[in-house]
Amino acid sequence: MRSISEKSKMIFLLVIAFGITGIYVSLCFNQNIWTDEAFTIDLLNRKKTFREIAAYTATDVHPPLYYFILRCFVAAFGVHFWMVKLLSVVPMLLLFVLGIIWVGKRFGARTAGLFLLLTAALPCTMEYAVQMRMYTWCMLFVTGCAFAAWDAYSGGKTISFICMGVCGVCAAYTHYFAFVAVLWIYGFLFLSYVFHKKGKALLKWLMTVILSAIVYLPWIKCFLHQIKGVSNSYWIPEITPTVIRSYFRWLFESDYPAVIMLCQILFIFAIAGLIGLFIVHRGKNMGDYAALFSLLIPILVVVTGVLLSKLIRPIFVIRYVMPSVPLLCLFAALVFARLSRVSCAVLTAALICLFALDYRTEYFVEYQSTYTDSTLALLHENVEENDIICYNYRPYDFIYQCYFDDDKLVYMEDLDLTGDYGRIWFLCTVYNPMPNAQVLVDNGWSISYVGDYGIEQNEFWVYVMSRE
Amino acid sequence: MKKRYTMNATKMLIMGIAAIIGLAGALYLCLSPQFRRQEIHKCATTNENWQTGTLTETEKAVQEFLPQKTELVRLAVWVNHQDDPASKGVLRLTVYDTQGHSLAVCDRETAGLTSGAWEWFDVNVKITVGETYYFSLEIIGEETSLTAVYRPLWLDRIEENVQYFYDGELIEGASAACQYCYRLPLTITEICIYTAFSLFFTFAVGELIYRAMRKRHKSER
Repeated sequence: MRSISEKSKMIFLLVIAFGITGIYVSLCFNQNIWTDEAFTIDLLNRKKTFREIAAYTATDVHPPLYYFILRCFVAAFGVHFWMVKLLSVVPMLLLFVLGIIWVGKRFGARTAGLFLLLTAALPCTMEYAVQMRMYTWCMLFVTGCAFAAWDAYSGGKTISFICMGVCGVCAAYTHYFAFVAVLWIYGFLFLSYVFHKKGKALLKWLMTVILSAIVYLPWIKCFLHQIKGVSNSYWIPEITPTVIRSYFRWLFESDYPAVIMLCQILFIFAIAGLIGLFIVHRGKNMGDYAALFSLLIPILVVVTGVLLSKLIRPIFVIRYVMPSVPLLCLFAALVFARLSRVSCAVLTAALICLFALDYRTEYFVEYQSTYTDSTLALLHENVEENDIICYNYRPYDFIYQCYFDDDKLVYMEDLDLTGDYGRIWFLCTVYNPMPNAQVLVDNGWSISYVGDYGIEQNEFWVYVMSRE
Repeated sequence: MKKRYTMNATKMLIMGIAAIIGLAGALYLCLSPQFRRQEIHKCATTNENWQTGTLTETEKAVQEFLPQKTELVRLAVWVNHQDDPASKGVLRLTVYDTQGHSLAVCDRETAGLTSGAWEWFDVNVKITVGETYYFSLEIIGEETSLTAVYRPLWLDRIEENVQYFYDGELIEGASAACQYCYRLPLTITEICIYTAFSLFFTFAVGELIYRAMRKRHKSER
């Protein structure tokens, strides 16, 4: 039987990658967002220039590159939820293509295929692939940086250092824990050169570091300012041993308890497999080192996050490891690809089923888990020109602003009941009471209950106030 | 030639055993209730604005409900013990059908109860969607000042809840502050995942065993 050529396998994998991307795209056409995504939309609506965006993000906790990319994108296509979600899918496709080509060329199509499926099927990936946040871009940049670092280690070509520098700087400008991952990648490369006494390559490495630092220099002031701000107060709860134990579970978080357990066993198997490979090959196989390197980066990002949290204050939540997750998948792919064709085929089947299960869960989350659609339908259908929408929980105002015009929205405490409104649509959360009934009566308003509604994960009762 | 044949047979044997163990593992995962997905249906709010009178053996709070799934695993209720930590009674939750047959009885010492939190009871009952069931809350033993918390239906609906009674009297438009936790049926995707993963694990182990045996065999030669 004639075996299929590597080139044909790669083309087949590329087709699969486009298929997976198509499935991600199908999750984008909805109105569902959560708080951080609302921040993204709020920023896009309010800050129009790069300078404004940089100044605004400097007051937050993230670097600005994602918002710059987004600004360019919406300048061409406008601010639509589905469009912004699509922008997060683009780097996933690029990551898949990069993974297939790079991994395929160096470690074979089987490893590339497993890398593709593991990345796509890991329960945490699909959720972030369609989020209006920077995580997928970080994944692309960190993975690109790691690939280039590996090439710089094995070949030492100047182009590898350039790619490593560009990806590293982009990652650092996108998320600080992507920056941490990049620092570890640079660190490992440095150690390998020192260990192997490669003086010329070390010089190139040094040049890359200096140039990267120069490019990052404009943001350093904001970075230090953000560190100071975070040191004073930040929302992340204390990191306890229980929280740390939950990290391994988070990667595979699913509604299905057995799926979490099976995924955990899969990665424990991969670690055991890597130890076995090192014993069998006596540390002389390059692929084993690639797997070890890929495994250590995400682990060290978590360790760094936890240590910094202990030293400064809690600044790490497990989703910040997302930029390094593709490397974790690469590690597992490199180990499992050494198994026989039959075992790999069974693993492939398992991952395809896992992907299907993830999709079902994520479809529910994106399209059916909130009252957003029915709320928007109700209000868009009934709110007339002279009506206003009043809410009683201030921290959510920027979320409401994503859906309704500013001039229609009024916070309860700012509401002037003597005002000349048509009707007042009142979004009543449990966090604050209703307006005083007597005050309403005194101002000629009567109130009636409309129904249970909600936006995002924030549920409320809708009341309508009118003057009979 | 003979040795090669022997090794091939050994491989087949090992992988065959691996397949059987893998399938057994998958069967275990499919049949074990603790691995099945659960779904919670609950009322949204958690304030204590609406409460029944004190619960006793005769003055029970009873919720009529229509289950949405076929396996009710746990039930949570919201009670208020009126800041009376010294109470020594037992809170009893009973699930029963329209004929009054008791399907599950769960007891909890009232001294261990806290106000302002859900109290979960493992009921584990098989039920029929569309049929009417009831659960009751009562105090057994010594008198306590425990009350059951409920919601007005207009404010906080929960699809299961139909009518709410206290001391045999209907409380108009009321609905128990409760949560229903169902165990969902196994899906084909789950069966496929469990089978594929279990087979993969056992195949991988089988392969490693075979490789180790082959290596030893070669070194012996």
